Amino acid sequence: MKTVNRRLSFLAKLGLMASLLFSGQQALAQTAAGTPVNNTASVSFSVGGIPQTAVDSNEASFVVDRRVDFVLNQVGTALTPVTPGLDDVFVEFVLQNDSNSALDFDLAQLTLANGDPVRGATATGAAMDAVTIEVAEFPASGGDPDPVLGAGRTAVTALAPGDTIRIRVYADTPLTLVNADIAGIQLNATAALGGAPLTETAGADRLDEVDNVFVNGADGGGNATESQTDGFSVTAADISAAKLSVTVEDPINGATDPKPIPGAFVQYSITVTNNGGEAATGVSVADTLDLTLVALRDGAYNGGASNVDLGGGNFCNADADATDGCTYDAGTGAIAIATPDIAAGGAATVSFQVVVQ
Amino acid sequence: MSVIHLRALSGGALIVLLLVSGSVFAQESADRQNYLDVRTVVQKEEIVVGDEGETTTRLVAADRVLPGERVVYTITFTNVGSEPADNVMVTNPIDASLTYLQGSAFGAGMRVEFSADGGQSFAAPEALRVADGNGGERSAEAEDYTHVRWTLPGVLEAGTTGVARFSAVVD
Repeated sequence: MKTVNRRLSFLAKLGLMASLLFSGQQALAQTAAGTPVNNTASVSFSVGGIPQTAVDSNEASFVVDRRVDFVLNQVGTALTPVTPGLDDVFVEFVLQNDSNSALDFDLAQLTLANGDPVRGATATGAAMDAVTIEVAEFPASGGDPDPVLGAGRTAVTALAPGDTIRIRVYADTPLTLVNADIAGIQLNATAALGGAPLTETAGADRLDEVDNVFVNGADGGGNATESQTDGFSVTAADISAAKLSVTVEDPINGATDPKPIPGAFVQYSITVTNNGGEAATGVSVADTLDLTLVALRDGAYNGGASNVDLGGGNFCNADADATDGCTYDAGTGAIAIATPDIAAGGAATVSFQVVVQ
Repeated sequence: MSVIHLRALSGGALIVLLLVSGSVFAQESADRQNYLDVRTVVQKEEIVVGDEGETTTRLVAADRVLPGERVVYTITFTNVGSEPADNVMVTNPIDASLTYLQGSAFGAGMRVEFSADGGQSFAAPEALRVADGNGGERSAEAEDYTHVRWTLPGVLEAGTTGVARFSAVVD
């Protein structure tokens, strides 16, 4: 036999959804902890038909106790996408006080290890750097400013019954994370009052004092801490390149079945494919020509104006001037070509031609 | 009759003193009023879940009461005089932090009525009306009740005890 109060039994029957609804209703008009509830009955009567002075009973009293109940939830429905090297990213939580008393909350964050569950997924890869808690200025329900990194509010004070407050955990994304990695964060919120975590009142009769009773939903009650995980899913660009060469013209056969003989034009096409989940920007293709065998052919494209075809009707000229993103060092044979941005799953092909020596 | 009156008053003064001191033992000391001895006890209704999931309800001391829980008030009144008492009416206010639990008021053989106007008038639930806030009236709901009243038809014989009871939910 175990004993539960009426509400817990009710919740057990209806499950979590009912629990949320029920606590929502509770939040509307809960009697504040510490409220005395007094009762005195009065009996009027007659004796022999003559009304007598009414008699009052004793006063039966109790004090409404502190129902410590709060929920910590993630904001949004999915992991937060990040790219390696991106700083000051955040996950957001909402803390709701369903108690019948204002409460303080101590907050603590920790990074999850590989293999730990994170919001329906599993943490993989490196942990986030520089993990920092920031609390919104005061209840989010009032349309307050976002929890700002650097504001330094790392605890919740005097959250009124029924109020919610937003909490962000900021972090930096390490460059060691790769595409499809998941970095997890856990936030712990511990109910406190007067600078100390709340403890549940044990045992005996405290008719006239405020007892603490934990009825936290998520982990079944019995302690003052609620935990919630959230995390970052890494979407990085994942680049691969392939190089093709085609002889386009030779001095003997022209453009018909040309052979790579001295004086022939050979076109190199380098295709860069983005296999990652994020657009690749600032991609530069570098190649070095063996100047003993070939020389860069100037004016191969764009009506003689450019020596590099970027695809899609775009061109650049690889020379000592880097302003168009393409450079060529005639002394070393080093050529560098800035490609257009490459969407996730997309590809870009750049081409240049050489003259066989 | 004047002697009775004085003793009843002195009993009332005793209650007031105990209220000021905040003692929880008031119920122990407020006895021996002349003719009628009236006591109130508050208990919490607790559900006991058995091994098979069956539930039974029991009453326990109201030492730990949270919003949403039920409390039960039991009022006992005993005729400690030597004459029968008639026109006995037990009136009990419902605390502002409580909502009367519909259908819970009980008293063997007694008529139960309610007030929704601070105890000025009483009626059966179906006849009780309150202002609807728009200049009209509507039927009173349990949350409108401010008082419960039990009326004992006939007499309370000397030496006999009556019991009135009701439940309420802590808001």
